[in-house]
Amino acid sequence: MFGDGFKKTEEETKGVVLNIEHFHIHDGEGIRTNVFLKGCTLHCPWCCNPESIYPKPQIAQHRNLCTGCGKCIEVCSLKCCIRTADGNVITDFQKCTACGKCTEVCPYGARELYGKEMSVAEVISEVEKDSFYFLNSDGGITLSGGEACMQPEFASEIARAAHRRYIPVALETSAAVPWDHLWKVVSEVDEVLMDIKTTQLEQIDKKIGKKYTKIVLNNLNQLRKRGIITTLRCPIVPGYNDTTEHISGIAGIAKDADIERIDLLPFHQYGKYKYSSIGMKYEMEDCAEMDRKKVEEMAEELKKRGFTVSIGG
Amino acid sequence: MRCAHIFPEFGLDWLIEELDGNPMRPENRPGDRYEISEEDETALREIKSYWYNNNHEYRCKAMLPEETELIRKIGVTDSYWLMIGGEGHITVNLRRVIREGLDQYIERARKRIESLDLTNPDEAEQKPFLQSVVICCEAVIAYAKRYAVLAREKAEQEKNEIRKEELLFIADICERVPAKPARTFHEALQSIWFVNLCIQIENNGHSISMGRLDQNLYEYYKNDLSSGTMDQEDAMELLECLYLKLFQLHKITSWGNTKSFSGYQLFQNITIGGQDKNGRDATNDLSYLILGAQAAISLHTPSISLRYHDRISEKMMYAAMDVVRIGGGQPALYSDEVYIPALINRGIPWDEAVEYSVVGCAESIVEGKQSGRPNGAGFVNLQKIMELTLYGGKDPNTGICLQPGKGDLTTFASYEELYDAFKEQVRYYFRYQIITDNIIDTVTEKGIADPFTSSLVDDCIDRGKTIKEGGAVYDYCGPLYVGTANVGNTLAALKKVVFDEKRLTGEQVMHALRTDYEDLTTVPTGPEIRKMLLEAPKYGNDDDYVDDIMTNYFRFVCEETAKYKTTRYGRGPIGCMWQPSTSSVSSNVPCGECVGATPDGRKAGEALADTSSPTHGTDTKGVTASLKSVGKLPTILVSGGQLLNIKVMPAMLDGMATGKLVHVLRTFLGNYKGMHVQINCVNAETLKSAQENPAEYKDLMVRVAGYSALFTPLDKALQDDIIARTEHRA
Repeated sequence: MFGDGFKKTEEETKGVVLNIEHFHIHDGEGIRTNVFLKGCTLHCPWCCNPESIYPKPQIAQHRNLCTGCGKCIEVCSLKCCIRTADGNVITDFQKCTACGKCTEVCPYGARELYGKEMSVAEVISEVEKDSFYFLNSDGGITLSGGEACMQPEFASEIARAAHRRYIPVALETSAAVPWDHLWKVVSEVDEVLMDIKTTQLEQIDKKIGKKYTKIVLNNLNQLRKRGIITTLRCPIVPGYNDTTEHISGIAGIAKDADIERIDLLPFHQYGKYKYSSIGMKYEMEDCAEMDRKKVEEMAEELKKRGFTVSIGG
Repeated sequence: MRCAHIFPEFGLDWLIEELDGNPMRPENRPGDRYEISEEDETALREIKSYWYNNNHEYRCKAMLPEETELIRKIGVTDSYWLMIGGEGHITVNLRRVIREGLDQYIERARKRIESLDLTNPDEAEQKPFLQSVVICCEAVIAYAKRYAVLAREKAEQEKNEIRKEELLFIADICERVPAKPARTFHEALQSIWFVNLCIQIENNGHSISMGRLDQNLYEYYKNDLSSGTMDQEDAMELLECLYLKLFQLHKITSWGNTKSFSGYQLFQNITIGGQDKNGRDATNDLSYLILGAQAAISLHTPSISLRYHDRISEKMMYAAMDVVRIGGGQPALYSDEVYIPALINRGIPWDEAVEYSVVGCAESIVEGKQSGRPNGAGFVNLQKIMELTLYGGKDPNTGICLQPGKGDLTTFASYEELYDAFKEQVRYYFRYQIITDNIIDTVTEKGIADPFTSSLVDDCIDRGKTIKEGGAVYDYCGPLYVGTANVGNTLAALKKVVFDEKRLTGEQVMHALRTDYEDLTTVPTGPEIRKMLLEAPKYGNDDDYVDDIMTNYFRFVCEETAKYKTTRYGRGPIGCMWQPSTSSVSSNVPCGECVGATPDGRKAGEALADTSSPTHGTDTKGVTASLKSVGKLPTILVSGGQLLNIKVMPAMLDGMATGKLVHVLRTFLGNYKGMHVQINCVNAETLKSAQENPAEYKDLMVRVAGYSALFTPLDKALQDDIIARTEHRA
C-alpha cells in the first residue's frame, strides 16, 4: 500500500554514486539535491570533476593534507601506498582496487574514497530529507554525473522512487549515450538539462570522444520529436569553442529544438587539484580561465536572438 | 569621540586592578580598548576608598554562598557581569512616553502619592519610589532643556542663516520633548533618544532597546508626509542621526566580562516587520526606511531585527537580503511562528505576545510591560558540566569537587548511566545558577532602584513598585547556555564509539582526554582516538542519530531551568519564571578556555560551539542540512531566545540565487520552526582567516560558477583565487 510494493525493487536496484550534495541552486528549478552518479562516457579535458569519470569507486590522495606518516602503508595489502626515496608517500593508482582501508586509518583526511555502491532506497532516504525545501521552492532531485544515463536502470529507478514520494526530478546529461539509455531515464524525469559541448564537429570530436556531435544532435532530435524541451548547457572553453561560430551554432540548434533557456558555463580551474589526487593527467593546467567579459558578450548575442541566458548556471 | 561612563556604585575594584596592569591596562587590551586621561585616573584612584566595601559588588559577595565563587572558579557559571554592571536588557514603553510625555508621568506619580494610605506599611513603602519617579522625570526634562538652551546660544552666534534656523528648530524640539507629547516624527525620535539615553545613564546596562520602531512611529511618519512638513529623505536623515547617536554609546566592563560581550557592543535593537493582532503583515514604508538607513550607515550597532512570519511579503524578504549583502549580518531574522507560541506557552496572552520586540541578542520582550532581562543572567557552560560528569564530578583543572558523581567515564556501564550522571550534575549546577542570580536580584532590588526605568514600565507607577519589587506586568529571566552543540556531540560520540560499537573503552577515552589526544604511545594513539570520535555523527548534518540525542538532552536542560521562580514571584507580575536561552554572545571563547579536551573531538582550551549553531567545522553537508538540524531543537521552550549564525558566500545573494536563499529561510523559520538566524555574508577577510585557521572553518562552503566545494581542503593557489574574486565582488 502507498508505494510499499516497490520497496524490494528500491532496495535491490543498486548503482555507484559519487556523491549526494544538498542545496544546489543552478541545476534545475528551485532548490536541488544533486545525486552524482559515477562514470562518464566522455573524458573532456576541461572536466572539473575528473573523479566522476571512472565508473567504479576509486581512491584519492590529497597531497596537501598528507604528512607522510605511513599509516596507509601498514594496512595496504596490495602495496599501493609506497614510500619514496625522499620520504613522501605516494599511491600506485594502477594497482589500487579501492578497498578503502587506507581512508579508514589516515588520521589527516588525506585519503578519500570517491564513490560507493548505494541502493535506490538509500539514495532516496538521503534526498527525502530535503522535502520541505523542495516543496517551498518547486525544487527536487537532480540526477547528474559523470553521466547519469550510463547507469540507466539505476537512474530511472531513482526517478520513479522520487516520483512515488512526489519529489520532482531533473536530469543533467551530456546525452552522449545510446538513445535507448537516454530515453529510459528521460522518460521518467520532469526536466532535462543537456550539454552541447561543440557544434564544430570533428575538431572537438577528436578531443572528447568519437562522433560526439552526431550522437548528441541525433538524441536531441529524438527528444524534440517526443516533445521534450531541454535547457541547453554549454561549457565555453578557451581555444576550443569560445568562438562566434560556436555561439551561432548553439543558437541554431536551440532554435531547431524549440529551446528557450541556455546556460553558458565558462571554463574555470577549480577542478585542477583533483586530477593529481587521483593520478590523472590534466591537460588544461596552463589554460587561462575563460574571460568573463567575452562570455557576457556571447550571452548578449544569444539574448538578442530571443533566448533566456544565464552564465555559470 | 566615543566614551564610556564609570559606575563606581556597581563595582570599581576591577577597574583599579586593570589600571594597575592586572591582567592589563584598558589601553593595552587586545580588543575593546579604552584610553584614560591621567586626570580621570587620579580621580578614580581617589574615590576608590569611598566605594570600598560599599557598592553592589560587595553587597552581592556578602550575600552569596561560597559555592558561587567555587563554581565560577571551575568555570561552570558566571554572573559576575551583573555584580559590577547594570541590568539593561529592556525596552520601556516608548510608544506611551512619546504620546503622553513625561509631564503626565509626573502627574500620575503625584496622584498616586496623594492617594497613598501611609498608615498602611505596604503603601508607605511605595512613597519613596513614587517621589523618586517625580525627581527623575523632572531631571530628564531639565536635561533635555539644557540642549534647548545650548542650541539657542549657538543659534545666536551662528552666521549661516540655514544653520541658524536649524539650531532654533532643534531648540524648540528639545524644549518640548520628552516633557510633552511628540507631534511630529522628528519630535518622536528625539523623545525616544532622550529617554533611552537617560535610561543608559541611570541603569549602566546594555541591550537597552528601541522596540517596534516602524509600528510605534508610523503614525507620525504618515502624518508628516501627508501634511508635507517632512519628506522621505528627511525621515531617512533623522533615522541615520539616531543610528549615529546609538553608535556613540559605550559601556566599559572588566576584561574578563568583555571577552563574553566583545566588539564594543551595546546590543541596542530596533525591531521591524512582524504582524498585527489580526495576524496581518505589519510591514510598512517605515520598515523599509529603517532598513535603508542601515544600508546607508552600515555600522555594527544598532542591531536591526526583522520579525519574520509566514505571511511576510517577498518584497520585504528581498529587501532584507539586499542589506545582508552589504555584510555585518544585518538584519537578523526572528520567527513569529516560534516566538509568539513560545511566549504564549509562558503565560503571555496573544494580544501582547504578538507585540513582542527584540532586546539585546535574541530575547523577546513585551515592550513597556515586561521587566528587564528576558534573558541575561549567568552564562551556563554546558560542556563544562559534561566534562565534570566524565571526571566523576571533580574538576580536572582545579581539583574542586562540589557534586561527587556516582561514577566516571571509566566506570559507566551503559550510555544511560552516563546520561543520568550528566543530568545529576546539571541539576546541581543549574540550581546554583538560580541561587546566585536570585541573590544578585535581591541585592539589586535593595540597592539599585532604577526609578526612571521603572516609571516607564507598566504598571510600576500604579502599583507603586519598582520593576525589581514586582512592578511590571510580565516577568521572566533567563541564563545563557554555552556549548549547546558540544554536549550533544559528546553524548553521541560516546554512545556510538564506546557503548554501541564498543570500539574504545571508557579508560581509553579518558586517557586520551587527559593527554589532549596527543599520546602516541597508546594503541590506538591519541590522534586515532580523536579521529574515531570526530567521525561519530555530528549535530548540524541532519543526522537523526545525533540530532535525537541533542533534542532529548536539550529539552531536559530547558525544563530544568524553567522549574525555578524569579524573586518577583507572587508579588504581582504574570510569569516570574526562569526561562532558557542559547544566546551565548561571544562567551563560547572564554568558556572554552577552562574546558579540557572533550569526546566530541575538541582539543583542550578550544572555543565551544556558539549559540545553537553546530560546532565549527562539523556541519559539512551545507546550510540546508545544518538549518534542519537546528530546527529540530524544541525551540518553543526557548522563550529566552535562540540564536543561530550562518555564513553564505556573496554569490548566494546575487540575482536569482537570492530567491533560493529566501526559500531556505522561509523553510527554516516557517516549516522547521527555527527561531532566529543571522546571515553573515562571507567576505574576503573571512576567507583569509579560514586559510590561516582551517580547523575552525571546515564547514565553509564556496560556490563559484556552479561548482561548489568546501573551502579549506582546496589548494592554496585556488583559495587565493577565490579570495581575489570575493574581493572583486565586494
